[in-house]
Amino acid sequence: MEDFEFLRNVTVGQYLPSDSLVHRLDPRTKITVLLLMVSAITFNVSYTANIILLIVSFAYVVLADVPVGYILRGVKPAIPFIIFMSAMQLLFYGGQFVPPNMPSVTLIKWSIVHVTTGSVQLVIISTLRFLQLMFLASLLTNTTTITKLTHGMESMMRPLARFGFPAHELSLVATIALRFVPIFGEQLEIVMKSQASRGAEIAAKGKLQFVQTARQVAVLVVPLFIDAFRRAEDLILAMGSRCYVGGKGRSHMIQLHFKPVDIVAMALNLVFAVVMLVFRNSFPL
Amino acid sequence: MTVGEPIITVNDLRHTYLRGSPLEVEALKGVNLEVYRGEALGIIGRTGAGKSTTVQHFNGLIRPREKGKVIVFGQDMADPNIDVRGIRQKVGLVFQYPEAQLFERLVGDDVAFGPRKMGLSQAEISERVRWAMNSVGLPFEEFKDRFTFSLSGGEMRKAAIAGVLALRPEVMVLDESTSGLDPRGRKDVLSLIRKGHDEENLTIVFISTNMDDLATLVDRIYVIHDGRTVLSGATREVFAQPEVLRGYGLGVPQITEVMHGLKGRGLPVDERCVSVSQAEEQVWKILSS
Repeated sequence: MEDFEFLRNVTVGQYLPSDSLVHRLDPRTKITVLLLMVSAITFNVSYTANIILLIVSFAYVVLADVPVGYILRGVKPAIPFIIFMSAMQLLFYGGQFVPPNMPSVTLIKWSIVHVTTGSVQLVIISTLRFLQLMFLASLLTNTTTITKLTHGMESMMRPLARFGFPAHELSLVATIALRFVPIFGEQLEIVMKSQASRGAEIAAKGKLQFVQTARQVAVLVVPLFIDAFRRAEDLILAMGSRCYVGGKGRSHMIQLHFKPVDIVAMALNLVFAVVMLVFRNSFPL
Repeated sequence: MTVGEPIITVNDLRHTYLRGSPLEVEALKGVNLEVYRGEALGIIGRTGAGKSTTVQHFNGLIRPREKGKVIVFGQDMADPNIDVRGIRQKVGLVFQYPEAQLFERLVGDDVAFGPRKMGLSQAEISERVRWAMNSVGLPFEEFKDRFTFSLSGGEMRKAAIAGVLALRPEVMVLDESTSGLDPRGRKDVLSLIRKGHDEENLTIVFISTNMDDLATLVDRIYVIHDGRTVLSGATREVFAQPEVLRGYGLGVPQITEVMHGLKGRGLPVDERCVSVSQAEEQVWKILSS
């Protein structure tokens, strides 16, 4: 049965209002913590380290009062790709990945198929990493409004403005782009429904139907583009009539201030990330 | 008008958007209604009351998954194996800003999209396109080769309606399809719907927040409030209860309001008038007695 309500499965980028500890943190704190955690995740390949990182990421989700099931729902559309990539890594990547903590033992070798304990580890670690990154990236947008997020980014990039870096402009572009995602999602849903109402076969019948003819796509893309241009023109008019001139000398309604809890959160995460990076090859498994 | 079997039956329908997420919204909490062949039916309610959600069940854009039953032309819409394209051909749905569905370069091609998808012969397709365009007031010969996106707003609206009409549906559902048009455009669209109803025996389901439009077009009205059908009856009967309607954040046609005012000042008029001509008759009666 067709289902037009795909916003139900898009969970990254959706702000969930709450008053949790994580919601109240300064957006710059959350961005910093995300960067620290991502670097720890990227450089750790051992089972132990990744389980620790998964537990910590999970703890952040619980602290943020975001339902774990909600974030996992966002993973669902990607599952076929994850399975496909894992299978490729498992079967053909055995000779190339050597885990630093353990010797790699060949399990199966037949023609080009080469499964080792190394490739098994690679698959498991990749999956764990994917979950960690999904939890954290989703969490940042689930607990931070777009306005705060972009103000945070702008404020973090501001020191670079001295060297001619367009901090304000970039954060404005990011704000507009992020703000338009749900709008286009809704508009796409309307266009899909309208075209289905006059006989178009829109919703894919099978889950794996990626290929659609250009003709079928045009039915959706042309109306969507026209709508996008119309909205962009409206936005330009609205900005112009409010005398928008860009970044220079512009004050902000939202003033960001670090609170003690922000300092503590950043300090703890810095220590944690450094420990995880320094001892990345010392974990037993 | 309400004779025979209903062609659409909705029974205790419920629907929740973003089900199972922290953002879920219970849009329908118990909608009951019936659409009979050949009638012109109105559905009114405030923004967010659940009107659009309800009518999107009529052609299977939303399927009943929770409690409730929707039967359209004898088919249970909860059954995943029904011929939903067949239903969509019988129940034409026009959205609030239908011009958002236009995509072809030429107006004629866009109107032909539905019939082509039905797999009709070339002759049958051009016959339908000609008929649909003529009935919405875009003469076929003059408009078929015009660029779609060079049309005016009102003409785009008509072209989009023609695109649904070309399916030759038995039921035409219009979801606030007159909003945002200038008075002339609105009058044109209303009269083409009226004409389809009178001449082609088209069943009409008309959603609107404009009570005057409704009064001129529909025979029967359902009021949906907060996801439930709370009131139904002949247009005159529904508009005879302005206090109840006001309680739901709705109003009555201006002329009905005038008649209620006259009655309130002690004139012996029948206040249930929904059109100017009915009111005129009443006023004449008093003046001549």
